[in-house]
Amino acid sequence: MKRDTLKILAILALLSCWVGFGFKGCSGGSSSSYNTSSNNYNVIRPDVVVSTPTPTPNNNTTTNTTTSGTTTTQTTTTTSATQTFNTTATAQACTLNSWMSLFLSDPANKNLQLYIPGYAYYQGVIYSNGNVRTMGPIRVIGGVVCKNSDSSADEKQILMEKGAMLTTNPEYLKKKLSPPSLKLKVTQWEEKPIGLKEIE
Amino acid sequence: MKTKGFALVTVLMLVLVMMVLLFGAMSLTSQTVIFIGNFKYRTAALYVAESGISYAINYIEQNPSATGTITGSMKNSQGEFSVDITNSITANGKAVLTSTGKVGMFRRKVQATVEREAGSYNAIGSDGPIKLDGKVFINGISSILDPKLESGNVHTNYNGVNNAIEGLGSLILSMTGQCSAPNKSKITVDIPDSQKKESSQTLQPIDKDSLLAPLRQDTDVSTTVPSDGKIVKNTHLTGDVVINGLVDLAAGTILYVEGNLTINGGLQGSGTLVVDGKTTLKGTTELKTNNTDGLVLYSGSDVTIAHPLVVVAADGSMAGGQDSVAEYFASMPEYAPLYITHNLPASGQSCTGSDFFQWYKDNQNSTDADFRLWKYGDGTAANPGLSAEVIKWLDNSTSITSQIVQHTNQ
Repeated sequence: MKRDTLKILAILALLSCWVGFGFKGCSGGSSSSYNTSSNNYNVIRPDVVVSTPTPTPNNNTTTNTTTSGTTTTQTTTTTSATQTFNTTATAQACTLNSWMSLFLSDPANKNLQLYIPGYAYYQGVIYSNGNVRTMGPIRVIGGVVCKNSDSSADEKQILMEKGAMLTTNPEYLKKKLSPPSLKLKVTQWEEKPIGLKEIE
Repeated sequence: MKTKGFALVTVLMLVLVMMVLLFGAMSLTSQTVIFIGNFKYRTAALYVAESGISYAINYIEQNPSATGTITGSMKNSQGEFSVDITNSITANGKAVLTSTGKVGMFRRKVQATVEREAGSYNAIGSDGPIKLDGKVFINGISSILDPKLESGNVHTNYNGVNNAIEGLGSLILSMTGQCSAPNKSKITVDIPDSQKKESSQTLQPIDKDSLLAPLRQDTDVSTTVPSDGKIVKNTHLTGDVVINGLVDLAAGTILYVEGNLTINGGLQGSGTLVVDGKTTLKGTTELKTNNTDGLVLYSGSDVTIAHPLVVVAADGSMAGGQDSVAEYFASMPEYAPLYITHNLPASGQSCTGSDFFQWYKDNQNSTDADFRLWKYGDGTAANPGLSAEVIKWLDNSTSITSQIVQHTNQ
């Protein structure tokens, strides 16, 4: 009877040990796995398959850390799946010939100031928390803001090269940004008659 | 006896006539003096009124919410002005200034409407260093519907160990505004000192969550890009995305990419694009001259925007796509078409397209009277000739005439 009681106690002790210390202590501390993603942090039993949400094509970095005994090795793998879309839309281009025809026939046409033969365009505001680079004959009509986030230690830079043109257009900027300063221009100017009441 | 009396009468009459003439002349002179005096003071009153407008413009630039009446005086003119300010800068970017100038008893009144200029904003605003390489153009326009040339400014808050605004290689910078940084000595680009300014600004952040709020509330969000490239519904794409072809983002529409985005056919429209990762765009060759809203691109990481023909080498440098013809036309002086077409000789008028540049090259040093009259003018208002700037621009074309002609149908 005493021997049976001892056996039961021993089994109970083993069970409590297994439950209380998780999977390491009683299993000899063989291994454990941590799956860290930007949104969740799970402790996964090696013998348990955890169902994960259906993967969407993404470039999120998954870091797998494997601990074995006292040695820890960390490997980083990047899963990358790219969605590709093909659109049939194409942009029209103003050829140098048609631009020159306008130049000679309608020299006051405003499009002569906007279009530049050989250039491509972006119309709007560009706001980046990283670097900004404009390359070749590209005209950005709007503005570029490159703001370092407070946590960012490295300098973000703007590089404009080989024909790049940046044209401020207040119409586009006022949509999202307040002007840092105020510069005024006169758009209308006229002399007004002095009223009789204003004469002393 | 009778003769002696007649002489006295004659003398008296002559004296009377002379006195009348004298008084008449004096009266005319005094009237002229009064008229000239009035004209002088009236003109001075106009100048004082105009100086009031200038004073008010400067005052509002320093105090954007200024309203009511401001007064002042013009030194050494004995004149005073008072300017009524109707300020709606915040609402629509405009203010109406009515200035009354007073000199003695004379008053003149001038009214001016002033509007916010492009130079109120930065063409580039950065916290980091700004580097410019090759030919670079920075300018501004008043609006897309009225694209008059205005100032384009560059500002950085960078005050680290490196230069704040610098040129790489052989920089040729064409700039209509100012470069500013916390330390002026770190602006090393070759521009006049008057275009360099020492200042710090807090760059206004754009909040990503605010941009995405309408999409988060939308229950009918698309997860694909239509084949016609026209995105008219809020769209949420996860992972890296490559779009081959043109994308047109309709007004009020949000495209959100949780990953990196590459658009190879250009982006146009007036919607909002939010990218968590890197954004790589090719510019579109089509300019929408009626697009008064423009796009908003928010990128969590690097942005690269390039001409469609740009090729990037393995080391990241720009290996192809530079276009000397495009750069030439980018440097065209404002109003050059008006100068060039005024009194253009018949042989030049018959040119079609880029043949004009071949015609100019062939006639550059011609002694033909019509050509010289068109190019150099004769000093009259009817024949002013080309400005020195335009002549220089045309002369520069002669070294790339063949390239311009080849470019004709590109």
